[in-house]
This record gives sequence, structure tokens and C-alpha cells, in this order.
Amino acid sequence: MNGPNSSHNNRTKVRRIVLPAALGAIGFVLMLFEIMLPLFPDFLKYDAGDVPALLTGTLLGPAGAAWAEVVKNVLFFLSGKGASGWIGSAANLVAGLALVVPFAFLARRGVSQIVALTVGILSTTAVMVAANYYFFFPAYGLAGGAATKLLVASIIPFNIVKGFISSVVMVLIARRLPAHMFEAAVPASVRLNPRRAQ
Amino acid sequence: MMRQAVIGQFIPGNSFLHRLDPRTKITALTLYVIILFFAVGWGYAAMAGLALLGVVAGRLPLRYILEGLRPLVFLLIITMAFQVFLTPGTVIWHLGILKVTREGLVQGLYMALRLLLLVMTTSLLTLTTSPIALTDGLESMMRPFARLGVPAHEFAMMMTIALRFIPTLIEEADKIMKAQMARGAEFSSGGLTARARSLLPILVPLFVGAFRRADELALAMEARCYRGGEGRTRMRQLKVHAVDFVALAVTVGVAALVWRLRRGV
Repeated sequence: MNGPNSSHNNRTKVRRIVLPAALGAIGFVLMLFEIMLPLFPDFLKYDAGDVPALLTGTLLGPAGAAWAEVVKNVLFFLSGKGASGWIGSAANLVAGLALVVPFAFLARRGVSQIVALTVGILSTTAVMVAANYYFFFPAYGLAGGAATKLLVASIIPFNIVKGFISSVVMVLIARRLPAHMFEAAVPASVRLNPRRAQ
Repeated sequence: MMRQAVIGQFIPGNSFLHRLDPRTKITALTLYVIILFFAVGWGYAAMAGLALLGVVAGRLPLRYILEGLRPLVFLLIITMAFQVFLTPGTVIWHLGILKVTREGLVQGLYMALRLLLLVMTTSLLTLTTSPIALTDGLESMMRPFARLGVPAHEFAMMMTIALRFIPTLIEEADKIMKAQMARGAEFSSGGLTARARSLLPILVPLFVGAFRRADELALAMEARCYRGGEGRTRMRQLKVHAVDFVALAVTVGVAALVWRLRRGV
């Protein structure tokens, strides 16, 4: 770390703290604007809170994306805006991490965005089915019997739809952001070029 | 400082709960939440009693507590219905295929109470502790594990930055929305896709602004020789007082009682 590049490394390090914090804050603000999805029950609402974390992932990789998710959900917990206290924040954190970490990991390794996003969506869906079945539904006192399976079944389409919308919005935004913004936010050495497609 | 109020539900005050060290409150809440899942029968009464004691010790207006529980109503109804209709046992009332069992009714009430207490005690923490104090508390509790690679300082730094960013972001989002509306943008009409598209002209400038601010902040931090958590001194020092031991003792006492009641059954 103390080579001729140390000032550059430091520059990167500070940005690895500041950027996930700023984007996590945007994620939190976006979380406050929940949108009802047709056909889904009241407690399964869409919010675009994962979009900034996905963007952080394309810029900084899995660690940055994970931090943006953590910041967003701790803020959401502190805000007391969630319907179910810490359980909702915890569920959102698990879902978010399962989406953005695999995506960022693959995207940073040159896998195409579509494949990386698809893997992320599948991963968040699988993880949320397991997490709800074993933890979140029992925590709400909804456990046992065939009804649980039915509830868990509604988790599958919801997470696919949620992940899909977030992915589309993320790609649209990444295409419209001016290139020099990425340049300024993250030095080229640690940056994956999200504008490669254009 | 006033602006912080935008984020949390924190109500400034000087009550017993307000004066507790954030670490005490986090520890007590964690213990409470864990033990709540082990409560049976009268154990629930003890847990509810402790929660009410917390409300009194926090000298919070009941209105705030009830306000915090309102979004929970829907979930409570689902949980109740689920337990009442689907628990097998002695049927006390039925309508067609819907059967209400005594066991279901009892179980439903317990589950609803557990959910209520879970959310209520959490809001006791966020109502009486400022977000910054909570972040400081978490950092301090994580610090012993820093050697194992737990990024305590980074976490606290990010939370502090994010908390500072939020009011600015909300203000900026408001400005952008007004600017786009002045250009004839519509946000509340059309189908799902039309609405999602209409959000782009807001989101893109919001992100551009955030990137710019993040860059400026990083530059400012570098200019002041920020170099991570090592050897950093603090303006706000956390101190443990006698009241903290009292609060912890009461919580541990109730937890032990609940545990005993469980073994008694």
C-alpha cells in the first residue's frame, strides 16, 4: 500500500466510503416512495431502493454494493417508517444483498449486464423463499400448514417482478448518466465501464 | 442539528431512557427480542409489563407509540386470522368450512401480542435515541471485533455521511421535481410503465447531484488528511453511568423470569 501509488490508493479508499454512503442515502429516500403492484397484497410493495445499490455495484464491485444496501436499510430501520419495525428492514436487507452482491461480482468480471442481473434476480428470489419460510413468516406468527406454502409462493413472482423493475431502471439511469460523472466519482482504475454498450 | 429530525422519529428529551447509553439500549433490546421468542403464558405478561415500563421511563406521549403501531394493523389481522382459523383443536364456533378453535384464538392473541411488542420496543429505541448516537453506539460495540476485520469505523463513517446527505437529497429531489413540472412533466398519471418512465427525469439529475457531492466530499476529506479510523479522536464520548446498570439489571431480571416460566410449563 505504501508504494509510489499510495496517494492514489488513498483516493480510492475515501471514495469507497463516501460513494456507498451517498448512494445508500438515495436508496433510503427512494424506499419511502412505495408503489403498489397490481395483484400483490399490501405488504408486498415495490420500491426503487435497490437501484442505487446496483449502480454502486457496477462502479465499486460487490463490497460497495453491499455497503449501499446496509446503509439504506439501517437508515430505514432508524427512520421507523417500516410497517414492521426491524423485521421489515432485515428482510429488505437480505433481499437486497442477495440481488446486488452476485450481480456486482459477475458484472465486475466482465459478464454481460443482462446475465449478471438475471443471476441477481434468481438469487434474491431463491434466498427470499428460504428466508421467509424459515425465518420471516415464523417471526410474524405465520408458520405451519399448507397456507404457509401459499404465502411463500407469492414471494416468488414478487421478487422476480421487483428485481426486474429495479434492473431496468438501473440500466436506463446508467445509460443517461454523463460519463465524466463516473470519472469524477471513481478513478478509472477501479471502475467498470457501464457505458460499454453504447 | 434540527434537520436530523427529518430522518428518525427521534424525540429529544431528558427521560430515563433518553439518558441511557445507546449501547445499553441496543443490548437490552437485543436481549428482549431474543427472549420474546421464548415467552409462554405469563411470560408474555412480564414482557408486556417491561415494554410498558419502557414507555413510562421514556416519558413518551402515547400518541407517538400508537402512531408507530398503525402500519402494523394489516399484518396483525393476517396473523390473527391465520392462527385463529388454521390451528387445529376444540371447535368453539364455525361458519361453513371456517372453524374457530380455542387453541387458535389463544395462539392468535399471543402471536399478535408478540408482534406488537416486537415493534413497540424497537420504536422505543429509535424514539429515544438520535440516529447519530445509535451509530456511535453500534461503532463502539463493533470496535472490539475490528481486529477480526469487522469494519466498525467505515460503517459509522458511512452512516454519518448518509445521515447528513438525506436532508440535502430530499431538498434536491423536491427542486428537481418542481423544475420538471415547470417543463410540463406529469408524475401521477398513466399506467405503470408510463409512471416508471416519468421518474427518470427526476432520478438522473438526483444521481448526478449525488455523484458530484460525493466527489466534493471525498476531496474535502482528503484535503483534511482523512486516513480511516486509526488513532481518531471523538467529539462525543460515550460513557456508562449507574442508570445503565439499573436498566440492564431490570431487563436481565425479566428475561430470567420469562425463562423460568417457560421451564415451569
